[in-house]
Amino acid sequence: MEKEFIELIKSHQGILHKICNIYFLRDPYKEDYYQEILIRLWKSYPSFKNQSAFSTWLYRVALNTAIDIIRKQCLLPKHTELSIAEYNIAENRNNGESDKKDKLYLAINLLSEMEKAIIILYLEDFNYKEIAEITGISENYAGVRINRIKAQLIKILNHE
Amino acid sequence: MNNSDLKSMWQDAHYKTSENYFSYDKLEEIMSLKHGKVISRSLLDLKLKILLYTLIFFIYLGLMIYAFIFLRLNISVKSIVPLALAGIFLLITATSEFLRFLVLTKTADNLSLKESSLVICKKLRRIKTTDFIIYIFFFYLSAALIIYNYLTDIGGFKNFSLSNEMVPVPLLGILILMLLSVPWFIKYLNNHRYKKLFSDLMDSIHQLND
Repeated sequence: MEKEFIELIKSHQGILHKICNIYFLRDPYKEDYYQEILIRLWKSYPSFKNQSAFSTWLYRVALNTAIDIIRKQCLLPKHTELSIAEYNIAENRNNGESDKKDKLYLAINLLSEMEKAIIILYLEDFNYKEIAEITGISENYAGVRINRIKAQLIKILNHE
Repeated sequence: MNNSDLKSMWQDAHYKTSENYFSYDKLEEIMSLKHGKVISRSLLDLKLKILLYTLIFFIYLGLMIYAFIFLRLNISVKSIVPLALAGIFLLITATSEFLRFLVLTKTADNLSLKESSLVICKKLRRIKTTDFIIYIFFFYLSAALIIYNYLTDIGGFKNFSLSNEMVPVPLLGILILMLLSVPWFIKYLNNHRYKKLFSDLMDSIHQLND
């Protein structure tokens, strides 16, 4: 099971990077949260019963974990201060990102946690049925929400 | 910019770049962990705090039992009140940290985002209610025991005095009132402490309601 999981993660690694970039943009602990998502995926893996595509399941667990981390950050004891070296690593990584990517992520960052989840699923070409399955809303409402979020994003990007 | 530009912008941004946070040889090592580094460190801090407060509370409890039951120590109410307050403080600190630990470790990752928010909200409400019931039981029982001891004069309770001059009814009254109000005070503190978490959860549920 372990090898199977590792193979699946390797072939879907891009998804996790995108989720981390959306939810933990500019967060110096992004790598740690990436690890946390991986660990929780592994813990949940026995419950994956091939009833849906692996990517659908992966998105569901990873989005739930990312949102859960953000929600509970206020309850965690203060983190140890970052060392200068760690801070520089985090900063340099951000400086290397393309302008276009940065602009898009910054615009998405202005959305609420649930809106971020819906828009990433839309941008990743999931259909309304799959979006409804992952988020728990109806297909019709998924369409309504996507249109609203898209309009909001375009407005933000056009204003920049 | 229009709707289709969004998707192409997203695809351009991702298919031309790749990033790796660590070597995938380390994956097995990561999978063997309970939590990521930062969360693990934070939870460890919390566990150590719980352990420390619980240990101090049990030492305190042991000393009280030893002094009042085995040595049959007879001290004034004036001295009992601060001792009781110290015990209450230790108990509240230990249980509130434990409650925080429970809240932090409750998850529902396998469900849809809406169901997950609903389940976590329900779990947190249950934890808070259980906590409140335990406090009510403990502090109201303590208050009832003090009243019973006073009324039946077990251990010469009525003879406790302040400077050997007056009957300690007002002090006992204050202590009983404090015991009765502690669960409500804790409830208020918990509501305040978890306000942001609950409002985030409710906001998520509200946003996902058709």
